[in-house]
Order: sequence, then C-alpha cells, then structure tokens
Amino acid sequence: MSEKLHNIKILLSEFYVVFLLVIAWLFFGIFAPGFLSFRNILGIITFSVILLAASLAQNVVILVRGFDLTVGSIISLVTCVLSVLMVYSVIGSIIVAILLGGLIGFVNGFCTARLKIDPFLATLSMMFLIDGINLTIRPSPGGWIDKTFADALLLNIQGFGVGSIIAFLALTIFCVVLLEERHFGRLIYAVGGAEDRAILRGINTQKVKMLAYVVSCLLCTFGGLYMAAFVQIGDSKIGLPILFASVTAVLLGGTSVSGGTGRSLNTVAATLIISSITNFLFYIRVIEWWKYVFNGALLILAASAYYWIERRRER
Amino acid sequence: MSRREMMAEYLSTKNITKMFPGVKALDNASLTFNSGMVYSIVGENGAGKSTFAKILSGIYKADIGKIFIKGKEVVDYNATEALDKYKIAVVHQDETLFPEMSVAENFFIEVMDRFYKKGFISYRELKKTAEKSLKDLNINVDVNKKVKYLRSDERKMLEFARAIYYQPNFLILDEVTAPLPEDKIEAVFTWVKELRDKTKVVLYISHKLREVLELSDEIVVFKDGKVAGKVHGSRVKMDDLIQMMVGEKSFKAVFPEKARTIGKTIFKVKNLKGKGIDMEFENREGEILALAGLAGHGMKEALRMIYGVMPKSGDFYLDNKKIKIRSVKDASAHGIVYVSDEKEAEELFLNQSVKENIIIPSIDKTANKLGILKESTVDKFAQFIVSRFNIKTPSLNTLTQSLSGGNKQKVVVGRCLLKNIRVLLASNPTVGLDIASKTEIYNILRDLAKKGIAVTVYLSELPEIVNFPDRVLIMYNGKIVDELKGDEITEENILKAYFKKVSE
Amino acid sequence: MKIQTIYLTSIGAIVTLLIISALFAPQFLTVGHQSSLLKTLSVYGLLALGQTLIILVGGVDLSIGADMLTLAVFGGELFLHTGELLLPIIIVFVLGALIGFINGVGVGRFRVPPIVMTLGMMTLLTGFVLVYTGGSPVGGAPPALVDFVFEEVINVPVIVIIWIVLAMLLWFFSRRTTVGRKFYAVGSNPRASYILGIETWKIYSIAYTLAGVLAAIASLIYLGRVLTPALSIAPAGIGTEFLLPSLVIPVLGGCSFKGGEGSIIGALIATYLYGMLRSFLLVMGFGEAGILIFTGAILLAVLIFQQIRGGRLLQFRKLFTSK
Repeated sequence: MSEKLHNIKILLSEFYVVFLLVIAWLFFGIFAPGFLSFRNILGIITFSVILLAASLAQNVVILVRGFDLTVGSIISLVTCVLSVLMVYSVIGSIIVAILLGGLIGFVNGFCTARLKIDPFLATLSMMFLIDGINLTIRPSPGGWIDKTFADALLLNIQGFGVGSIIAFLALTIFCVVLLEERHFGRLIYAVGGAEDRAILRGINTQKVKMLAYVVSCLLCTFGGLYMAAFVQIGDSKIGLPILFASVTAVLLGGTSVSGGTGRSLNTVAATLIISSITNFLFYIRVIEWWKYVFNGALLILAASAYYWIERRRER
Repeated sequence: MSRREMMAEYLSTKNITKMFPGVKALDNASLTFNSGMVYSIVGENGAGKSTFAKILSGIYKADIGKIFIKGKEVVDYNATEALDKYKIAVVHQDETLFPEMSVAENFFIEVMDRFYKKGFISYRELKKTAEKSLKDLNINVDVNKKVKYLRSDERKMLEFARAIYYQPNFLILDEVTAPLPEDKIEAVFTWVKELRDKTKVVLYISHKLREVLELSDEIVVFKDGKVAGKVHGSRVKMDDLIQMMVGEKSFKAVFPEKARTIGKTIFKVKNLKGKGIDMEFENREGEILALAGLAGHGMKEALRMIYGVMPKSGDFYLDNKKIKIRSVKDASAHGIVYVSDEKEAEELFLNQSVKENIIIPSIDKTANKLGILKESTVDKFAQFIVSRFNIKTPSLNTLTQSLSGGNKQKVVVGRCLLKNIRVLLASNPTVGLDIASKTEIYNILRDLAKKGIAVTVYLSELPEIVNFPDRVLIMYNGKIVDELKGDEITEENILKAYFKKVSE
Repeated sequence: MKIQTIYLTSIGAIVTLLIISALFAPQFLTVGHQSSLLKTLSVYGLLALGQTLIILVGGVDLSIGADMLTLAVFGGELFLHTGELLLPIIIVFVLGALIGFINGVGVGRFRVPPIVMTLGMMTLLTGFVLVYTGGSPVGGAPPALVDFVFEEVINVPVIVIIWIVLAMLLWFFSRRTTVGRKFYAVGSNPRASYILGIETWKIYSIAYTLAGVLAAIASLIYLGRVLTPALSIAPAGIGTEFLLPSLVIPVLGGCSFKGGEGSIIGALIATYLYGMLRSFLLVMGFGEAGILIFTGAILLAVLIFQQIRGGRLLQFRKLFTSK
C-alpha cells in the first residue's frame, strides 16, 4: 500500500505541470462557465498544435543545453515557401520545406556543436538570416496555399478540428517515445546533463547535439505546415510570437536551462496552460493584452518555485 | 598451463606520441602488456599517464604510433569499439556518471540500444541486469536511485562495476582509490588480483606508491611524456621509484622543517556541530595542524563549515575574542581564508589574467576609500606574489588557464599573503600535484605559519601527514578520536588510529 | 589579448567602410550625416552598454528593449499629464533602476536563470504597457526635453556627448574600481567569487540596476526624438527592435556569453560599426530583408572568427579531416 502511495507521489512530483494544468482548468472552469465544455477544451488543443510543435522542438534543444531562436522563423519560412511554390507543385513545395527545415537544423547544430558557438548567438544569427530570406521571398503577406492540403491537414469534421487533434497527439507521442524510450533520447539527456562525462564514456556528443537540432527544426517544419494550413497565406512575421511562447512553455514545463532535465509531458502541459490562459481571457471578455501579464507573472513565479525546490533539495 | 605460458602479449604500443597545443603529452611511448599481469604507471602530474590511458581506451587518437592487440595492428578505434571489439575497459580519474539519471541508466547509457524490446527500451531488463552485476560484486545500491544521491565512494564503485560488467581483457584503473574507504580499497585489490588470475591485464595508474608496490607485477615510470623506466614490482623500493620519477632520493627531503617553538592559541573552535560533525580544536601560533582520517569522515566538511560554506553551529575564538561566523562573508571579514580542493571550479578565474586571479581576493584592500584602483599598485602586488612564490608565467597578463596545475595552485595559495589573513583552512592543497609543486606549497604554508597565521589543513596522503604538520587530529565519523604530536606522528600510529574505531 | 584583436578588427572594419564610403557614397562623410547617425545611435548605444555590463557579469537582459519603451510610455504620460519637467525625469530614473533591480534580485538572490527572469520581465512589462495604452500611442514630450535632445555644442550633439562620456565612465568603472573588476570575476566564475567572499547577488543587482538606469536615460532621449513612443505590436513583446541590436553589438565588440570577457570600449566601437554598416546598406539600396541577411551573416562570421581565434584553429582544421 505504501509502495503504491510512494509511486503516486513520485509520479506527481515528476509530472507536476500536468497537475498544474488540471488545477488551472478547474480554476478557469469556475470563473468561466462553458470553459470546461468538451468543445472548448478540444478547441484549445486544436489551436495549440503549432505552439506544441514549437515548444517540443525548443524542449529538445534546451535539453542538450542549447537554445533555438530560429523556431519562429522556420514556421514563417514554411508558410512563405509554400505560399510561393504551391502553385507549381503541392507535394514538391512540401518536400522543399522539409528539406530546408532539415538544412537549417543541420547548420544550427553544426555551429553550436562543431564550431562550439554559443547557441543563443548562433541561432540569433540564423534567425536574422532566415527572416531576411522570408522577407525576400514574401515581402508582404499573401500567396496561395492549396485548399486540399489545408483541409487534409486540419480535417474539419462537424466543427471539430480532428486533423489538428490527431497532430497534437502524434507530436506528443513522438516526443515522449523518442526522448524516453529510445536510445537517442536518453543520450540527449546524458549529453545535456554532463557533456564532458559523456565524452569520456565514448558517446559522440557532437553527433547527438547536431541531431537534436535537426529533430527540433523538423518539428518546427511540421508546425509550419499546420500554420500554413491555418492561415492559408505566407507571412514572414507570423512565427515571431511563437518563438517567445515556445521558450515560455519549455521553461514553465520545468526543463532546466542548463540541460539534462525536463520531461516532454510537462512541456505539453505547459503549452496547454499557455493556450488556456488566452482562451480563458477571451471567455471572460478580458482584453487579450492581459495574457502577457499572466504569462510573464507565471514565468517568474514558476522560476521562483524552482529555486525553492532546488534549495530544499540541497539541504 | 603454467603462468609463464599464459603470459602472452595482449596489447603493445609502439612510438605513441600525442600532442596538444603547446605541449607534447606523450613522446614515443612503447610498452608491452602481457596477459595475467598487473601493470602500474607512475609519474608526476603531467607525465602523460592519463593521456596514455585515454589513448588506449579510445578517447583520444594518437598523433603518431601504433597499437597492437594480440599481435595485430589496430587503427583508430573509438571508446565504444575499444570496449566491444577489443575488450578494453577503463575507470577514469574523473567521474563519468550522470547525476540526474538513475544507477541503472548510468550503467548502460552508451549501449541502451541493446535493450530494445519491440522498439522501446525495456527498463525492466535494464534494471535487472544492473542489479545482478552490482550484487555479484557485493555492491549495495538501489538501481532506481538517481546517481546524484549516491556517496562518492558508491559512485566510484558503480563505475568500477560498470567496467567489470563488460568482462574486459584489459582493465585500466586511473586513480580509483581516491574516494574509497579502506575496506573498499581492499575489495578493489581483490578484484584486481582475481582478474590477473583469470589471465586478464590490469593497468593501475596511481600516485599512491604504496598501493602500486603492493599490487604490481611491473611498474612503468613516466616522465615528461616518455617512458623513463620499467621495473619489476617485487624488486623495487619506494625511494627507487621516486628517484626515477623525480631524481630525488628521499621523500622526506621534500618537506620543510617542522616548527621548533609553538606559541599561544590563535584560533579556537568549540562545539562545531552539524551533519554528523561534533568536534573542537585549537590552532596555535607557528603550528601547522592537520585533520586526517578515512575518506568521508568529515575532515573536508569541518573546514567548509568553519568557513561558512556549509551550515553549522559552533563557537569561534580569534585571539581569545569570540567571533561570529554565519557566512562566508563573516569568515572573510575576520581574515579566515579557505583553499578548496574542488580546484579550478572553486578557486580560479580561468579566463582572467594571472594578475586578476592574484588580486581579486584582496581587491577591496588594494583600492582606496572610494573603491578606485591604481593599476600600478595592482601590478606591484601581483608581481610580488609571482616572484615570491616562483610562479612560472610568461607575464602577469597571461590567462590563468595556460598555467600548469602546480603553478595554478601556487597562485591560489600564494595570493593569501596579500590578505589580512589570520587563519588559513586548506583542504588537500597539494592533491594531484607533482612533487616539485608540492614542495613549494609546503614551503608557502610553513612560511605563513611562521608569520603567526593559524594553518589548519586536511591531508589525505600518509607521507604528507607524517612529515608536514606539527600536530595531527584523527577524525572518525565526524568526531576527533585521536591526537598525535611530535614524534608520535608515524605512519603506523596514524593507520592504527584510523582502524582503531573500525575494528571496535 | 583577445580583446586587442577585436579592437583592431573593429577599427579596421570602420576604416574600410569609411574608405568605401568615400568612393561610393561620399555623402556619408559629411558632418551632417555622421552627426545624425550618432544621434540615432545614442539610444542603441546606451542600451548596448547596459547589455554589455550584464553580459560581463555572465547574464543577459532580454527585457532591456521593453524596459526602455515602458519608461518612455510612462515618462511620456507623466510629462503630458503633469506638465512638469524635472519630476517625471526623476521618476523615470527611479523606475528604470527599480526594474533593473528587480531583475538583478531575481537572478542574484533567487537564482532564476537570466533568460527566464528577463523574459518574464519583458512579457510582464509588455502586458502592462499594452493593457494601459490599448496598443495606441500615448504620452508626449515637453519642449524643453525636445530642445535638449536636439542641442549641439560646437556641432556635436549633446546627447552623443552624454553617451560617450557615460561610456568612458563605465569603462573606468569596469576596469579601475573594485565593483567593476568583481563584475569580471563573477562573470568568469560565480562559484569561486562566492568562495572568495564576493557577494555575487550584490554584483548582479548592481549590473542589472545600472542597465535599468541606462535604459532610463535612453528612454528620455528616445522620447525627445520621437515625441510619442511607437509600440510596434510585435506580439512577442515590445521593444524587440531595440533588444536585438543590444545583443548583437556587445558580441561584435568582443563580449563572450560565457561571462567575464569583453569590454565597454569594444561595445562603443562596435555600436558605431553597427550603425555605419546599417546606414551603408540602406544607402546602397538594401531593404529590411537585405539588412537582416547581412546582419545575420556578419554576426555569424564574427562568431566563427572568435572561435578560430580562441585557439580552436587546430580543431577547426580537424573538422574537415577527422572522421
């Protein structure tokens, strides 16, 4: 009996963000009747797909002690590329987008892992470069996205964004499996936790880090496809808010900036918390600007919470 | 089969040379290792021992040279191949465990893909296998625990168990006994001998000449990256080994003279309590006081507590006046200085100049009332320390990271002289240094003691404990169990004191 | 020693640009153009100085752009509604210092990672400002301030003088005072600093507070120049157009994000270099896209160069030869 309780306690402490999400939802449900309706919750999930892709991508990179400022720019890039090339070939443009995403991931990984440039700065430079390219190929929002493609991705059935929900689940399962049930994922935790020791163990840390960036950028590309489906145009600035939200979600989800700790499910929960806040505010007819106040305060509170937990552990 | 027949060559190296920017770590190292023997490599710091181990185990690639295994040349293998193909396992000097991961995961992190079941890692299998390996070696750890919750000796044993698990034909142990208590060291020796009996090869790298002499069939001496000599383990004395390493006959000659007159009490510690520690002592003028004991029994912790790094309760008296030490700030203000044994992590600013590293601890004193510094004054003070302690550096502005280990430590200890220092607490100040640097550090400390500074050191190497301090306090489980002074300080008495409690 | 190289490189780059300007865009070398450039740069320069101090200490301040805009909005409103001159200025200074201090305490006392703390601060400030203004421009600047901002002394704009004088003071502070040198120590190794008795949380607080004060000065200059702060509704948070240069310039000036490496003078020179480069690109006909690509490329080049210079030359060659 005590063993079971002990296990539940461990589960709760490992996944406390999920716990937080449940509490938040209950709280919102009290103050905004209708918030907890099936339709609304599914709606939140639907709209979180893109942010989830970006947050999970950011999580993978932060786990290896890195940082990815190109997250938003890649999403913008995908919309811009598709908006320009889809008129020629739907499949072809998708392939090009995926290849570009992978290439950017490779370059990011190369600069940070091989050339050992500070990840923040390396991805900052890449962000400038990609934004510049976006602006060049799509100087102002517009272009054309194939409707069949968008419909297929979103799969709207009776008002429910089934496609998005499937994508949401797919992203979650993919990341959880990759990071926790596959060797590569465990290596990410090892390399992020203590790189010098990983080297002594014979682990090819550079390869692991580079692949982490590639995986991250491909996840962003996936998010970009959904963004294109959602807005149906190309827009060079559309990804910018996603960048900061992704970092907020990862940090809120308990992933440490120094790498090595942080579980995917917590990132997923944190993403939902952030989306829920916006949704809740909309529900109670509060101006959306308040979401910034909420997010900012939440971030600082979460960070302080980590401090207290760390201090207690040290004793 | 006789032992002679079993001693076939397992691994040999020819002309192994390895260069790092600015230094030749290994120079034409040619050695042969036969099955069923225990080899040791000894030498000063920087002699190339760990580099050699890393080349053999696949972490580094030699710039020049060849390696032969069972007669066949092997080229360019990485650490995983070393383990899998050539059965070369290594336990490094530095820890290679991941604190946030469990014991089981740490055991198999490089090879987790061997535990796939239908595409997912079978953690059950992982834990079972780890558990069995640890039990076979009589190591009691919970495989689910995160490694950060393990003690340092448990962690070293875990690394040991990991290496043994792969049933290596060639096991390299690099300074493994440092964090281990006496009983565990005995266990390690037993396994080493077992491996030898099973016709494996063990390469034992250590500073502890006593252990080397007890274990080894053949001892190789490295000096400046070259093989300086090979001797049979049974036919050599410690002094001979030292001579080959350094060129000096006796270890004793290396220590400064002990104090002839001891003055009154400068620093008194009473009721020091916390984390299992309960002790008190006093340090008198001119006297160097040492804390000694089996690893993990509180000597290091006691010093850190006094300095304020660790929480504690206690009463402290400086020159017979009661003082309050609640934090590092208080300690520093009272003139208490602490030299950590966490080396560069806690003592040095590697990307800053030598000048900066010397002046930072006393920077408030060096500036005028407004906090403004005159660079010429800073230069003068820094130069004084560099000259006084013979710190080898191209210039005051050289980045500290380019200095050798010994010179770095001289900066750490030497700069204390600039402060209004009354008490010096040093935790293993010479660990890992070559004999020349050790000598210089001993001299610095003895100088400070002569100047009327209370010097209390934690020492862990027997020759040091015997020859350096004037008085030794033996600790066990956080309490002082014995005191030796003057002629009482002999290796025999020290070891007796260590084990007195163990056998009770 | 690394810093000297960066000085030489920056100055070399400036000289090269000046020569190219002389050939292709001689209007650059007029006093009028340079003066106007420097006036615009003063705002970015002050923010870059603040960021440099924080990077020296081993941190980063993502809120610096938002700080400045918040202060400008706040100040503008105070000017407009109180009609006073001195009082709003004092309040803006105090507020700027306060924001910086909160950042510093969060990072220093509560050990919140700088990215987290300042990102949170940036988001919070964005929220407050957007809620208050509803997204539309508010506030105004009193004529006295506007005049001051346009004031010149022997053809040199006063605000530029202020900027450079502040830079000099900060250089002296960072190199010749105990607190300043402790910045380098804490940035280089916070753990060792603690062991040696340095109160690291105080150092962090001072660094961030100084940055806050610099942001305050920048906000007043900004207000004087634009009269009403333009809040580009970058949904990420306001002020990113000021934040990003403040991150790029210190790096160009030789700072390392590792902490303890860099110099104020380097940042000063780099600010001018950055401004010249941008100006140059604009005149050459590059649009925003081109400038972005160029900035990214130059930054990347500098970063790669730093790595090669930092003794990684051997490893760099090995990149293409080892397996």
